[in-house]
Amino acid sequence: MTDAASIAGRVPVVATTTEPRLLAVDSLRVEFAGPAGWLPVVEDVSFTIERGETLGIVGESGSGKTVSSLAVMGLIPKGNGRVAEGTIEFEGRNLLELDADAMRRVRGDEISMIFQEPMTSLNPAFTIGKQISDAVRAHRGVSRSAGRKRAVEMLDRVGIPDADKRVDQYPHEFSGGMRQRAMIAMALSCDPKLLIADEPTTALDVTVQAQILDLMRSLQEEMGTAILFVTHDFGVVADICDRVAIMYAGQIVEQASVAAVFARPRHPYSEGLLVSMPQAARAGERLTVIPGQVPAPGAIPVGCRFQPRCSYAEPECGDVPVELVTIADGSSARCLRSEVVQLRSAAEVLSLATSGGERGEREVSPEPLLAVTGLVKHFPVGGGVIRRAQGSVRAVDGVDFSISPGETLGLVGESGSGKSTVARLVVGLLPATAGSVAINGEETLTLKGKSMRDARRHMQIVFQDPYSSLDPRATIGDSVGEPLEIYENLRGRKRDERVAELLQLVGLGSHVLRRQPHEFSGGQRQRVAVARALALEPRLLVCDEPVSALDVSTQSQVINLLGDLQERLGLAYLFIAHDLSVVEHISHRIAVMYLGRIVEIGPADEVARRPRHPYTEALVSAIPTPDPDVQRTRKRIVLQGDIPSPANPPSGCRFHTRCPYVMDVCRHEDPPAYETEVGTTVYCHLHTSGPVLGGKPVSLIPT
Amino acid sequence: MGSFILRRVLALIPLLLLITFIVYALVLVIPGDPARTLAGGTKATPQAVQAMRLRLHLNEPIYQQYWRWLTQALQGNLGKPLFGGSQTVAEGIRTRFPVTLSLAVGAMFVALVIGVPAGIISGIRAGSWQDRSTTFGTSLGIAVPDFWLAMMLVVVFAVKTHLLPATGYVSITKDPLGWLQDMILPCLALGVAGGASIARQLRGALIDVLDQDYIRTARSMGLKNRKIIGVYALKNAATPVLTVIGLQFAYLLGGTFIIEQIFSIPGLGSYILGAIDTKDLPVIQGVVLVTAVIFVFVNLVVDISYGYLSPKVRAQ
Ligand SMILES: Nc1ncnc2c1ncn2[C@@H]1O[C@H](COP(=O)(O)OP(=O)(O)O)[C@@H](O)[C@H]1O
Ligand code: SF4
Ligand code: SF4
Ligand SMILES: [Mg+2]
Repeated sequence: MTDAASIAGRVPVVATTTEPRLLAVDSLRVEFAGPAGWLPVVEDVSFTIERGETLGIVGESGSGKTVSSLAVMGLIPKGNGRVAEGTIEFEGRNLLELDADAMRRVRGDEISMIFQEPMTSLNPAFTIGKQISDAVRAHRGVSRSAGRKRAVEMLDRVGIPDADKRVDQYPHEFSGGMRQRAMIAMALSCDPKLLIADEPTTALDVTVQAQILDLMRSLQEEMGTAILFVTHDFGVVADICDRVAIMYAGQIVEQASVAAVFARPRHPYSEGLLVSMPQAARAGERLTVIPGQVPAPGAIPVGCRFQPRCSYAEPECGDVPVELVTIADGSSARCLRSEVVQLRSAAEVLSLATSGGERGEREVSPEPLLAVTGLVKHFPVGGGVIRRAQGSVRAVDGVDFSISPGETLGLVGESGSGKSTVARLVVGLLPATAGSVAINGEETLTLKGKSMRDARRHMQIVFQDPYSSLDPRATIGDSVGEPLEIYENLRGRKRDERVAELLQLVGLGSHVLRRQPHEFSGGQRQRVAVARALALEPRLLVCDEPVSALDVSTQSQVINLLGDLQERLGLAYLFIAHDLSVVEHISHRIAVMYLGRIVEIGPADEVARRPRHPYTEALVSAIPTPDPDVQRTRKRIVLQGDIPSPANPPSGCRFHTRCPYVMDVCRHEDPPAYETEVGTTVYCHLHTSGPVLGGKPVSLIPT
Repeated sequence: MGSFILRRVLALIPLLLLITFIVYALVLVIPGDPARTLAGGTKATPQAVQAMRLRLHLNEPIYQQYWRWLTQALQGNLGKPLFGGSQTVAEGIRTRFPVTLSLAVGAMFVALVIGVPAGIISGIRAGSWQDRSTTFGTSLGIAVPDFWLAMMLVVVFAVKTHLLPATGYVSITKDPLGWLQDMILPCLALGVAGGASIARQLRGALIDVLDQDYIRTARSMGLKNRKIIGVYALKNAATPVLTVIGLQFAYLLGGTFIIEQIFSIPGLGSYILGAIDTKDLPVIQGVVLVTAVIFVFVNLVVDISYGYLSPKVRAQ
């Protein structure tokens, strides 16, 4: 066949249809090398993206979202990975048939990608400007100076202040949010037609997430870029996506418009993800969870892959693989019973929670278990062999709170506000600069030796990353049993019996005694960390972001566990998280921190639902609501910029540089404590000067 | 960058003082009465012992002796050898130092020429046959002692094939070609092990770096592979390799002393070995001092290069 003939054969087809689809992925199958040969991790995945459209891909970790994105980019690692089947057509060209150099030219120019971790995604050894300029120069034969000019232009466009100066800075001089902006600037520098965003806001604070989502939306309008948005947060989906594909165990299980999914999910997994969000349960009650975990590749059930975790499963679901079936108005689902079962809409699910919290009655004892007063921690900065310290980072700068026995105090605030430092000071992992930490009326900061160790036994800590806090080579038995050996001199069979009890308590069987941390999932490792913390029967557990690294449904499992333990053992918690909805669910009271100080503290539902401090209001407003109708119409406050440096906090009210209600007095006078009649304490001039709020919620300020 | 370098240089002053003091304190570890030992032991006459004591100021307290020696050393005066010749220690070092330095630098050059390409090849193709054979080669290179390698090289290239001279040394200013011929075998013998270590370290560092998120970013932006490996990865991988290069240089300087003996090269090695034999204290102190200062200097260069490679280090 001659060239002319082949062209002649194709031209009419192209000419009669409109422009080819932007992206059409069909029957994609990606495999990775396992010990026993190639294992599929993505199977029978098909989806399309139109020009200028945003498709969300949602699912728990391990469901194949990133692998599918990398396949589109042609970045499946060679050697241990391969695309075994399917086509990826981009504007009519099958990308899988391109040679390496042609594919390289597509990447960054026509399709580009931003990643989850802004902290590690930029090269630490080169300036931001050079990295953007190199990306431009890889596709356009422009000079260095033109590349730099484009970098400045893009940085300016994504809202980096002083772009012409910051272009010559290195990534470590940028905050997390600014790095993600710089990543977006780089990804859009060649004006791609498709942007793949792999959990671009998961590692960011909600306030910064709101800024980044706004930015992506406005850039999309300006440039007409289509977006493939990978996330595990339904709130983000409601906020930014047009259509959504829900992935489970390497397959798409439901695909529909965002409105349709929220109005009527067609797959039990979609409903499961919705109902396991903390917003979907009354405060203090157990969260609904999807039991179990995503199956590992190689351990995939024969029939419906979701069957072992599905509450609507019937025996016939397990017989044969289930196909993705088109249902109505462009929706499709991979469920035999999707026409039969009646799944709940997002609005129904959320209405459960809006009725407000009925937290279990607590006997408030007059004596607090933990009393923290005037706590201060300053870290010296700029010191060295030659130079003396040049100042200090005021990480914690005068913090007071108390926790009663059996009570949970939630501590929220953006990163850098000093939450982790408070946690470490309370359990004595860091020496305090000033202040007092008393447990049961006994001051712990001045104690030494054995009496200090005895006092500390009552307070244990659980960290965000259970993997790094457990010795990777020690068995679970050794990790959990270590405190028993050190403090109680329990050894051998006696120790193992007690360890088995503890593991039972956190919902792990004693059969895991001889296993090692790497054999466990994130949620299970967090259970082990909790078991270890409980070994000495503490009365207070300090939890520093214990569920932040976990998927929604695993997060709910761990939160339920913490709730059960509190009920059974009368534990008190200091619970730190940056996700206010999680904190609201689990806490009796909430304290909000900003730049080393508490700005509002009080009963959980008052603080979270009727905030009386502008910063709390901004935090609450930044959380995307998992309901597109609500999310797209409600009033939102997007804070500008980043949290200022604690080495040089603003004068007066520390929040004044970002506060939408700032008044003159705020700039030079520290706001006094204001006690409201609902039992909250607020530090804001609004209640005492200006349009006097006098203890009313901020939302009552006329706009 | 300027203030970064200044800070590093200033930070070295206490270290240099400590090193010079330790060097000087060598006199304390001489067993018995140093004056007697140095004057010839039991056979020495009381007059000779007394003369030695006065000549080396051994009658003064140690800090005074040290201060005198230090101020003189700073002016380039390291005293005279106790035995033989009218040449001062400083002159003796000055004539021999370039020989040793060229040997060390030559060996470092060999190490880099072998180590860097080998490290890159095996680092970017970890697990391939190229990687496996390079790894085999580097294990061999590290295991083989340099003096043994020196002798093998002499046997093959000098004794059997007469391609290169077995021993000897001419200065580069007199006969550049002859100098080059004389240096090839010693530099090879000395540099191979260093090259193997550098290759290993670079391989590990590259494998690490190529796995980083920022490399994935560079790929996702469509940068050419050559640029990703040669610029984006290498600059990051260079930092840990630099530590090894610094250590290797120190090790090379030590190695020169033996290699100089094998190839009869008149460098600092033969100078100090002779002096150790006769317990010629000023010579020993002088050579050890120069070597120590070079170590410190090499470390400074390594430190400054860290600052160049890693903007974060520079800022601290
Ligand atoms: N060891 C330390 N040295 C210097 N600064 C520190 C140290 N630990 C924390 N900080 C600083 O203290 C501030 C508060 O940190 P942190 O307690 O981690 O806040 P959060 O938990 O809210 O993220 C940050 O600016 C952080 O950089
Ligand atoms: S096919 Fe059966 S098991 Fe699978 S999701 Fe539907 S109802 Fe559940
Ligand atoms: S004191 Fe002023 S600046 Fe601070 S939060 Fe209140 S209104 Fe805003
Ligand atoms: Mg923290």
